[in-house]
This record gives sequence, C-alpha cells and structure tokens, in this order.
Amino acid sequence: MSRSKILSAIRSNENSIYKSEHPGVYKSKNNLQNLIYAEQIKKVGGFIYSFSEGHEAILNLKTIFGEMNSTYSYKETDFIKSNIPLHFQTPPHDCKNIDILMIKAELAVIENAAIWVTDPLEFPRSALFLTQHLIVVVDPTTMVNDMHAAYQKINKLNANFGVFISGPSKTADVEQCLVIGAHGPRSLTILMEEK
Amino acid sequence: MIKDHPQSAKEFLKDNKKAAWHDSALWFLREKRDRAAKEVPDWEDLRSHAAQIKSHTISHLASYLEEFEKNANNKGIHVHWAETAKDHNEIIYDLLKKRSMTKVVKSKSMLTEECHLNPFLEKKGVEVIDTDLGERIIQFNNEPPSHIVVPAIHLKKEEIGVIFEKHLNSEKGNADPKYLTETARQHLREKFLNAQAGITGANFGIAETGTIVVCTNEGNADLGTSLPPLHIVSMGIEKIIPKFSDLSVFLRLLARSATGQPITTYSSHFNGPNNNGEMHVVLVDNGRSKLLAQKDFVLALNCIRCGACLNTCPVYRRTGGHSYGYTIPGPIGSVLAPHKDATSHKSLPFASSLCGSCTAVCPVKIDLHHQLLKWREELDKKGKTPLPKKLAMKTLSLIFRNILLYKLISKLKRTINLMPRFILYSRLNKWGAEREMPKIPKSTFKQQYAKYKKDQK
Repeated sequence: MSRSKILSAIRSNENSIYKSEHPGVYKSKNNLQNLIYAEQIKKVGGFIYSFSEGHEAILNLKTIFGEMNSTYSYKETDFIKSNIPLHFQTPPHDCKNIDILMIKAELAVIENAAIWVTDPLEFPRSALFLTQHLIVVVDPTTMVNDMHAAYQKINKLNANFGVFISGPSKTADVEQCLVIGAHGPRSLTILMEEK
Repeated sequence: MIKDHPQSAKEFLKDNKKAAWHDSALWFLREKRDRAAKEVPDWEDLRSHAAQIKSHTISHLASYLEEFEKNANNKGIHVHWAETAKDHNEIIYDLLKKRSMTKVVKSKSMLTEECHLNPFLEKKGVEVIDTDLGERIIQFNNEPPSHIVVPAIHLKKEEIGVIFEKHLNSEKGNADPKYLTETARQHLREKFLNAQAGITGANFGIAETGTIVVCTNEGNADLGTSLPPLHIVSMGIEKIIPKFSDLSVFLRLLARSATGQPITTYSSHFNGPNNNGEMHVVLVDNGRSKLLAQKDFVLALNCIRCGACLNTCPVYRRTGGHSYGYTIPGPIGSVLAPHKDATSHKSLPFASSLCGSCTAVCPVKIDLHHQLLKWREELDKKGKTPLPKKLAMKTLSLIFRNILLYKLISKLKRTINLMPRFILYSRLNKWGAEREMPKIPKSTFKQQYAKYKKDQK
C-alpha cells in the first residue's frame, strides 16, 4: 500500500530534522498604499474605464478587434446585452463562440490588478476562459491593497473554483516576446463603478 | 549514458551568437525580477515568512498530507498515492483506461516530466497534448524543456517558425511571435474542445482546505480543466502548504521571482470537481521522502519552481538547460539530480561558480550554493571528483599551506608572461581554452604594499 509506505517513510525521516513552528498569518506592512489600480491594470495589459464609459469600452474593443456578435452579461446595461442564453447547466463546450463576457468581480487587488471571481452560478466556468474578450465590473468598495487583505476577505472558499485574473491571457514563450492573447481572452477590460 | 556538463556545454557553445542571445534573454528576466522585488518594500520579510512556512511544513509533512487528503475527500476530490514515477504513471493511465479516454490535454507540470508520463501514455495509445505554448513547441521538436518556466528558451523564433511549418502548416518563413502564438491558439483550441481529460501540475496544495492552486499566464490549465469531465492533478508531496491564508505570501513571491510580473494572469483555486465532473489528485513521493532525512539538503524541498536561480546563474545562462542532462536544470537541478543518481549527475555540483547569486534570489531561501559545495564534498568522499580537478586542488592546498613554497611560486609565476602561447594555451590549460589568461603583474601584492609604505614615509 503506497499510502502507508509513503507516510511511514516521511514520519521516520522528518524526525531527523528540526521541528519549527508555523510563523502565523503574515502581518501586512501595507506599504503599497501609493499604488493606483488604474496604473497597475495597464501594466498587466488590461484596459480600464469607468462604468459610465461602457460604450467607449465596447467601441475600443471593436476598433481593435473588429465586429463582435455574441455577448453575455451578468446584467443588462445600455452598452451590452446578453444575446446568447447561458445558465449553469449549459454544456461547457457551448461557450466556445462567445465574443464578449461581462462579469462582476467579487474583489480587486490593487498591488497586482487581479480580480477575484468564484465558480459562477449563471454559466459554466469554461466561459471565463473561452470568451474572446472579458469585461469585469469592479465595485471600488471591494478593492483591497494587497494579497494578504484579499485572502483575509475571501476567508473561506466555498465554491468549487475561484480564480484571480490579472489582465488578458498572455505568453512570452517565443523568444521572451510578450504576446497578448494566448489561449484565453485576448483582452480584459475593467469597468470601475462610481463610488 | 548522460554526458558530463562541460561536454554538453561545449556543444551548446558551438553556436556562439545563439549562446550570447540565450545569456541576455535570461538576464532580461533576472532584471525584471529585480525591479519587481524592489517594488515590494517588505520583500525580505516575505521571503523569510515563506521560508519559515515551508520549513515548518516539511518538518510536519506526514500530518499535513493526511489533513490535505481528508479535506480534499470531503470536497469530492479523490486522492491517490504514488511511491514512484512508475506508480504515478500507472495510476493516471488506469484512471483514463477505466473511462476509455484516449485524448488528454496537459498544462505545464515538471513532475510529469520527471516521471516521463508522456511517453508512457503514448505507448498505451493515449494522445497527450502539452498546452503551454513553450511545452507544445518542444513536444513537436521531441526534446525536453530547457527551463522550468520558459521551456523553449533555447530556441530562436526562426527555429520555432520552422517547427510550426512542419507540424501546423504555418506560413513559410514567418517567424513573427504574434503570428506563431495565434497559430498555436487556433490549433490548441481544437485540442481543448476535443479533450476527454485534463492533467495539470500543482503549484500549491492546501492542507487546511484540500484546495489545489495552479498558476499560468496563458490560461491553458483553466481551459484544460473546465472543458473535459476529468481533471487529474499531478503533485509532489512537497507542494503542500498548511493554510489557505499562506497563499498570499507565496503568490506575492512566485511570479515576481519568476518573470517579474506582480502575479500570474491566472491563479486558479480548484476546490472541488467541475460541474458534473471528477477531480483526482496523485500525490507523488519519488525520492522526496528520502531527502527529508538529510539535514544538509532538506531545504531543497522548499522549492516553488520559480526559476529565479536559473535566470541569475552565470553558468546556466551561458550553457543552456539541456547541458545539465536532468529534468530540472540550473542550481536547483544541480542539487536535486545527484540525489537521484550521484554517478550520472556527478558533474552538476561543479557547474557553478559558487557566486551565491542563486541563494540571494531564492524566494524561499534555499541555501543553494552551500548545497552545491556540500555535494562536492560528498562526491569527493565517494571518489567521484575528476582527477585533474583533484590534483589541482591538492597542489593549491600544498602551496597555500607552506609560506616558503608560496613565496617561491609567487616569484616563478611571473615567468608565465614569458611563456610562448603554444605552451601556455596547451590542452592542459582548460581555462585558456575559451578565454585569455590574465597578465601576471610585475610585482606581488606584498612588494607593492612594501613600496607604498616606503613612499609614505
């Protein structure tokens, strides 16, 4: 039985090393307060607009990437409407033709521009990665300074899946040359709600 | 038979221009790492904290593994235990076979490389597609990764263009990175959509919650696990961390150390199977538990595979990853490889200048250059130091221990300047094979100091 063999090998060997204590939760020094979210998101290749500039955000995408047809949004707005039906039981492969997906972030981290989302209830998680373009609405009151504050806020993850997303999918595997749009979304746009 | 590092390095260095490019491409990563680290004022505190968490975990590993298993099971995640690489491969094949699955997509995992999973599954008729762009390139080229984060860094874009022409019918002569990436995107989207199972590695496994965390920039781990009904995680037992909140420390360090990014694009937390799907974790020992008993080497289990020690290493940058002849190259590979096989990998602890830069950049404070030195001692005890090296060291030791001999040699060594090139640069002089010898100064330090003192008066 591999399990008991591995565990007993570990038990007999780990006794020969110094037993140290867990250092506890890291006390954040909060020394990144001068960082600005808008600057951080640009550094990781994302776009940012205020929510009221939604039309401009869509226009920006269409100017760069051309016409887009199938869209899904977590809520109806005057600049984006859901024209494909998605629900939790939609087969994950059926999300393959989404052009724009708009979601709401649960929180946003200033130090690295990451937004946090958990397993969405209204569509399969594959949509987050199959969509050509991702728009994320951020409520500024959910912003935290750093990852320590983020995990404190998340506390316990109850959903089957949670992900920090920082910018569009990217790669530099060819000669260290940064290319935006690897396998996942080709762009990520943040829409910051007004306070 | 694995070639010694100096022999393989010689082959890499034949293409002088490419070797120089390799050096600068990795130095670019190192510089980005430095900038990212400097942006975090409490960087050193983070490193210390991370090292403490890892050392604590390693010294309580068995109970954390049990805790992980229990919590994962509670979430509907199946946990398997593999003592060896063979066990690991068989467990994975068994999972696929029982479900009649023959199409697998895989995101980057150094452990599956270590276990040689791909050839094992391919022999059984399973198609395994590596989905990280760099990994896909080298899979086409039928070679192992040369770096743990940027696996195709040994190839120039023109070479990648040729590989894509052959395998993906891309335009002849087009080596534009954007075009090549787009070509791979189209090709791999098909593979993601047709896959029956997705295999990923694990950056972290959290004991407290049974969660698996995987970090990628491309989103390939997410596509590979959100589409097929089966997700298999291949995870080394040292990847366990105790608490969910510990992730904040490691996620702040990992990408900054690896590529200078503040975080990877995706940091995915798998906390249970996908809707209507299954999730399995294979915990792999494959020699790791043996390392626990060796107090001089145990810190190597702290490794989070960021690659910072490779990028900074003057020997790695100038000789390329394939010269190491081991799954993991660079300083961390050189301390791990001899544990697997001290005879085959005896040259690796010598593939270092012992400058200590690896230790200085390591986000989890592994004492890399001390371990490299320790290995040299161990290998010498086993009689595995090459004879010329041994003789040179013995001679130097003799000279340094004897003041009269030292003085005599100091006088004599200036005759080196007078030696004809064909003698001085003969085959006995390994140093001179690639570089010019420094000129020996006219007077010794002692003579210069005495003169300085006299002139002062």
